[in-house]
Amino acid sequence: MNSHVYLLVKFILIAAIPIIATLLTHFYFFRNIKRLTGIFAGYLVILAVFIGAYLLASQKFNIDFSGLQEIAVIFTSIIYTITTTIQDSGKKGRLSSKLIKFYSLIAVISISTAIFLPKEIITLTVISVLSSLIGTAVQFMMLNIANET
Amino acid sequence: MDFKKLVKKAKSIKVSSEFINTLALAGITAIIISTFFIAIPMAEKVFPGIRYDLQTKSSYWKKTFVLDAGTYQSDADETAAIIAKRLDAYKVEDYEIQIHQSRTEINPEEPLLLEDSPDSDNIAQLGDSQADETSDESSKPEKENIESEREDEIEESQIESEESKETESETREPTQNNPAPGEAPESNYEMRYKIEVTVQSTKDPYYVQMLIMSKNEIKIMTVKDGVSFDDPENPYQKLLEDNYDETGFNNNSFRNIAIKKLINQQGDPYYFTIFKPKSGPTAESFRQFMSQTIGQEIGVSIDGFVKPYPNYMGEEDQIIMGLTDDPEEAAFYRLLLNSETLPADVAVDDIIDKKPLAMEIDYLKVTISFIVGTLASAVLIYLFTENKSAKLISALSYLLSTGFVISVGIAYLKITGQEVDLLFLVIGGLISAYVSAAFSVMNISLISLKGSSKKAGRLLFFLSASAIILITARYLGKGYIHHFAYTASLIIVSSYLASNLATLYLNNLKKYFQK
Repeated sequence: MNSHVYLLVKFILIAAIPIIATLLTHFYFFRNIKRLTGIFAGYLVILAVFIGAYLLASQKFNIDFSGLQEIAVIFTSIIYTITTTIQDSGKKGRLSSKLIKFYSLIAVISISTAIFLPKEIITLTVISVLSSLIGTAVQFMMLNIANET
Repeated sequence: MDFKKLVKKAKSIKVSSEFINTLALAGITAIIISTFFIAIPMAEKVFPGIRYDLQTKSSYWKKTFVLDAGTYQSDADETAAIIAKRLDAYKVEDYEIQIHQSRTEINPEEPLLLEDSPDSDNIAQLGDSQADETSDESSKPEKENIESEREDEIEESQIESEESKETESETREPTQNNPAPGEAPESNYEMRYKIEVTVQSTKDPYYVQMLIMSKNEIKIMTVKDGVSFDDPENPYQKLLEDNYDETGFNNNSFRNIAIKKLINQQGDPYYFTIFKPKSGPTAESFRQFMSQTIGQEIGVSIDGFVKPYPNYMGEEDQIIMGLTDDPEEAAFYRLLLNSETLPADVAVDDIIDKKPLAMEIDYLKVTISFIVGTLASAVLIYLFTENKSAKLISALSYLLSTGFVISVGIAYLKITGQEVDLLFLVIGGLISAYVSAAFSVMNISLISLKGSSKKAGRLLFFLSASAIILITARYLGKGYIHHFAYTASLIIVSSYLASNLATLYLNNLKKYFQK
C-alpha cells in the first residue's frame, strides 16, 4: 500500500476512536441530537484540517514527525472534548465566553512553552490547537443552523 | 497502668477541629513544599548527597530493517504480527511495520538467501559495535564469535528451509509471478514478501535487531553418532546444529522458559535459563529422556546455535543453563525465549539508517518557559473570574494544582529513578495545564456539583470521553501512544482532583490567616 494512503487510513482509524467515544458519551449524558450533529461535523473538520496541515508540513516542508502525529491526534481529541464540555455550559447558539477564555489560556501556555521545543513539536502543537479551534467554530455554526431551521 | 484506664483517659481528651485543621494545613504545606523542591531542576545541587536528578532517556536512533519473509503471505502476516508483539513487549518507543511484495530474481546457481550476505555483514557490524561499546567485558569477544558462527548456521538452515518449502508447495500456493512484458523469462523471477520494520528507539539496537530477526526456534538435541568435538582446530564444532540429532523436544514442549537469578559455583549472582517441560506425558517422556542420556552431552539449540549441556543429573525433569550476569541481557532473553516462533526464516535484505527525531530538550529552559506560561495564564484567570472575592483563589488554585501535579510526577520519577522522555514530560505538563485551565473556567468543583446535575453530567461526560479515548488508544495503539495513554489518563484525573484540593486548601489557608 502506498505509504501516504497507509498514513491516511491510520489517521482516520485513530481519529475514529475519539469520534465514537465523544459521540457515544455525549449522547448518553445529554441526548441532544442537534448538538451531536454539530460535534460530529466539528470532528470531521478537525480531521480534514489536521490531515491537510500534517501532509503540508511533512510533504512540502519535509518535517519528519516520527510517529508523534498519532499522539497529536489524541491530544487534539482531548482539547476538543474539553471544548465540547465547556460549550455545554454556555448559552445555546452563542460562542461561549468560557470557550474564548479557555482558548486564550491554552494559547498562552502553549506559545510560551513551545519556544524552546523542537520545530516538529511546535508544528504539531499549532496544528492540534488550530484544528480543534476550527472544529469548535464549525460545531457552533452547525448548531446555529440547526437551531434556525 | 491499667489499659482500660488509659483508653478512658485517651477518650476524654478533646481535640478541637481547629487543631486538626491547623495540623492538616501544616502537613499539606510541608508535602507541597517538599515535592516542589524535589521536582525543581538541579535539585541534586540544592541537596548535595541525595540523588534527586532526573534520569532522562539517552538519544534516539532510527533504522529501517527490510526483511525477506518468503513467498507466502500468511507467513509474512504472521511474522509481522509476532515482531509487533515482541517490540511492544520490549517497550520500543515507536515502530512501523509495512508488508509489500517485491519481484526478485532467482539465481539458479546460488540460493536466494545466500545473496543476502551483505546483510549478514550488517548483523556482524552491529554485533561488533555492540561488543566495542562494552569491550571491558571479557565475555563479549566470545559472544561476537558465537554470533558469527550463529549467522552461518542461520544461513544454512535458511537454505534447508527453502528446499523444504519447494516440497511443501503442493499444499500451499505461492504468489503468482507477474513479469513485465519484454523482461527476463517468468521462471527467473518470483514474488517475495518484504517486511519493512522502521524503529525509533533509545533501546539497545542489537537487542531490537535480534527481536526482529530471531526465529526463536528451540530444540533439545543429542550428539550424532561418530561426531567428536576433540579437534582443536575446530573449537566451534560443538556449537553447530549439524553435529546433533533432534529429539522432538522443542518450544512447544516447555510450559515457559524461566530466567532466574541464582548463585553460580563462584558464589556470584548469575542468571540461569530453566527449561521446564509441560506437565503430563511431555514431562514423563522428558524425564525418561534425561535418565537415558545420563552422563552424555546433550545440547539446547536456539535458532541453529547449540549450547552444549552435560547431563550429569539424569533424573532431573528440567534443564538449567547459565546465561549471563547482565540484567538487561537476561530481561531480553526472558522476552525473546518466551515469544512465539516465527513461521519461517527471515533474512535481512537491508538495514537503512535514518535521521531520528531530535528529542533533545533543554530541561531548564523549557521549565522556565513553562513556569512563565503558567504564571501568565494565572494572571488571565484572575482577570477572567467575574466573582471578585474568588479572583485570587481561582488564579492561585490553578497555579497550585498544575504545579502540584507536575511536581508530584517529577518527584516520583526522581525518587524511583525511572527513565523519562523529556518530550513526554512537557506534553504531560501541557495536558495538566489545559485540564486545570478548563476546570478553572468551567468551575466544576466537587463542592459546586452538589445539587447541580448539569455540572455533574458535564464532568462525567468529560472524564468518560477522555477515559474511553485514552484506554482505546492504549490497547489499540502502539509505540508512543501505547505508552503515553496511561500517563495521560492519570494526569487528567489527578489534575481534576488537584484543582479541587487546591481550592479547598487555599480557602482553609485564607480562613486561618483571617482569624
